[in-house]
Amino acid sequence: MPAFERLRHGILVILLVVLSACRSTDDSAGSKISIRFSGYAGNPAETSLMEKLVGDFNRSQGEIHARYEPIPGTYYPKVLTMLASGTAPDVLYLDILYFKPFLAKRKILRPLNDFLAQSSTRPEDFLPALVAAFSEGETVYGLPKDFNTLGLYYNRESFDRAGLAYPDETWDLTRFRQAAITLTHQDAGRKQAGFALAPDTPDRFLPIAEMFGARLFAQDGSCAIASPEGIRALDYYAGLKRVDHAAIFPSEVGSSFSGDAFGREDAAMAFEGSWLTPYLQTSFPRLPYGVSELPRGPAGRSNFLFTVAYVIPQGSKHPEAAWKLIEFLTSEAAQAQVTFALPSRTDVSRKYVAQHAEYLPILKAAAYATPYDFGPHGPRIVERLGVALQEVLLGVKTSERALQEAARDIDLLQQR
Amino acid sequence: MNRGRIVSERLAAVAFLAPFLLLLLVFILWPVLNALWLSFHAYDLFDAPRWVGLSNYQLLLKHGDFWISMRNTVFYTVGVVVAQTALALFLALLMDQRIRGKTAFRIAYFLPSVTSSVAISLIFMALFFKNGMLNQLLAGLGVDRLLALTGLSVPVDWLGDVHTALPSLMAMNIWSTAGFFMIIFLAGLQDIPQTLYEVAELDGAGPWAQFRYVTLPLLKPTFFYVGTMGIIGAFQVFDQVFIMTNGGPLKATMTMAYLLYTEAFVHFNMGYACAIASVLATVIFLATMGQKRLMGE
Repeated sequence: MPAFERLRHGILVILLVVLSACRSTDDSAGSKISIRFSGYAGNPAETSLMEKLVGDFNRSQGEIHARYEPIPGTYYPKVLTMLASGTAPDVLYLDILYFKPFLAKRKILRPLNDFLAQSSTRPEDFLPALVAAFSEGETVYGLPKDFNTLGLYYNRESFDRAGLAYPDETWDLTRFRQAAITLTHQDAGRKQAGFALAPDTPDRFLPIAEMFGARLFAQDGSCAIASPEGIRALDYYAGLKRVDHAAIFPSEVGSSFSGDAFGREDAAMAFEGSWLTPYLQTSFPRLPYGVSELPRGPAGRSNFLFTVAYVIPQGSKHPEAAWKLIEFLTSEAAQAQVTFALPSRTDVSRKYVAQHAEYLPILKAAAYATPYDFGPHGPRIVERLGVALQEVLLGVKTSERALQEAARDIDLLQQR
Repeated sequence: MNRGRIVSERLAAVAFLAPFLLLLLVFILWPVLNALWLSFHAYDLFDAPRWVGLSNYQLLLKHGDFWISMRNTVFYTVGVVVAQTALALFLALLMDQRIRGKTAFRIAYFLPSVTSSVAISLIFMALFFKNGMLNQLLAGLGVDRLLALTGLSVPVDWLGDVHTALPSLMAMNIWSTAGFFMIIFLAGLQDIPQTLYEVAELDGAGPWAQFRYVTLPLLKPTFFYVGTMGIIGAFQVFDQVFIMTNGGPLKATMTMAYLLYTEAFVHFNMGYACAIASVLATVIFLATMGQKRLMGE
């Protein structure tokens, strides 16, 4: 019967496909220990460096084969889903904002102390604030990959055209505001704003709030952002856009982040981390830019430490092999190749800045910057503050009302 | 002998249906029931689900975001379904005429519905930007001054303004789905026997009367289908929001499906997200039943 024959052929083909699929996974593993490593694929410079480093690692190891699987798009939803379903990689990136939320779920992170005790990698060699950021008491859960703080990126040409001196360490917020107003111009139909202001994330606003003397949390842990200083800070920040018309939202000019609007010369200044430097070099190679420290405010300086650590999930079947990979990735040799952030090793980052002066303001700020960490409800707190910012920036609410409502919601969150 | 054949035919029928039934059970029915079960639990994917009774539903009633998303979704659905149905019918009536290059037009109108919604969203983002093509067109036509009179700041940041973000998404969706429903209406129109029109004409009915008393009543089943599919699709709107606005600005485009996603996969409140899903399913069911009653089907 021809129909039956065809069915049998079909089944055979399916079996062959299935079997060959099994074969290929067996091959890549061989007799070696196979581990997987994932980070977010945000930045092409980073992805290609990681590919290279993992390749180097595999060549240096006889027993272990690591596979790099960068995750594009929404990283934490994907990672948490993989962790919950037991399919997570053996080594993961973990952003400082997500460290406490991950720690709150007791079964996720594996302490690294046992590995560190037998290793030549010493936590003391890393910037202390970074190691502390991923520790709870004496227990270390992650080794910092690298770090960033915010710098003031400025367009030299725009400053020259406006006859302004470039920003330096003497700049304060008043000076910054005046510059933003002076730099805003429109000639020959080409419009440029003084400052690119991201309306939905509080990571640029909170340093300004601290420069005004405000604190996000009071001593007792309650949210104190709606203080008079906080309100004044938000009035200042939103005023750049609403009163002075000296700022644009990146979305208005079709950019996804303020650094892109800066690169396209839609804005003459932006607060960005050094992740912007390789982006500008590849996407806008002719842009004449400089970087300086963020201006100081009436209450001094403030900045955030953005950092990512390598962690090993509890579910990893090969934690020793995973640790070997982390050791390799945080080694001096590997760290010397980072371009989109500063190396987390104190020595390496000093040497690095000596060769690349444009990263100096980023390193300087690390001396007083605080980790971008708001406890186990961090992501929700950031989201809620973002809403408050938008409410004020879009003119829906006053700074006072928006911050008071946000503080009330954040207090409720903390009690949950 | 005969009985043996019946048995073997039945076996064959079951065998043929089995792959589909199995998939339906495993990938549709079981997850649906499981989601309903989870909506009575607190579950973060890591610790075992904990029974909390109705408290997810109680939280829902108190949760401001839920009501915002409900309002946005209903507004979106009513606007999109009415407009896309009207536009689809209009296009179908046009395409039913003897027009030169009819096929080309049909293809052009149908194309958006076979294009990925992600691609469409990205293109429309470029159109809707403050310095995008839509504003350039409007400024060229002088319409921007009219818009300024309505209190919008010109040029309009279509996706960034609280007042225009949701309507912009709606307009895009109407454009992208109308072509598909046009084809359905065309099929419906071609099902109407030509003789009825001849009879109507003999009775002295003009073009309008023919449309009103022959075309519309006979298109009723098509209307029902288009309306139902439209309602289901519109209530579940997610990808456009996810790509273009992330629910913003200020939750102006926060739809139920998007809220559900953020609760489930950003905040890992699986139980709460399942409660939203159950409510969404109930709302869709009720809306469809209401529409069925309205159409007298």
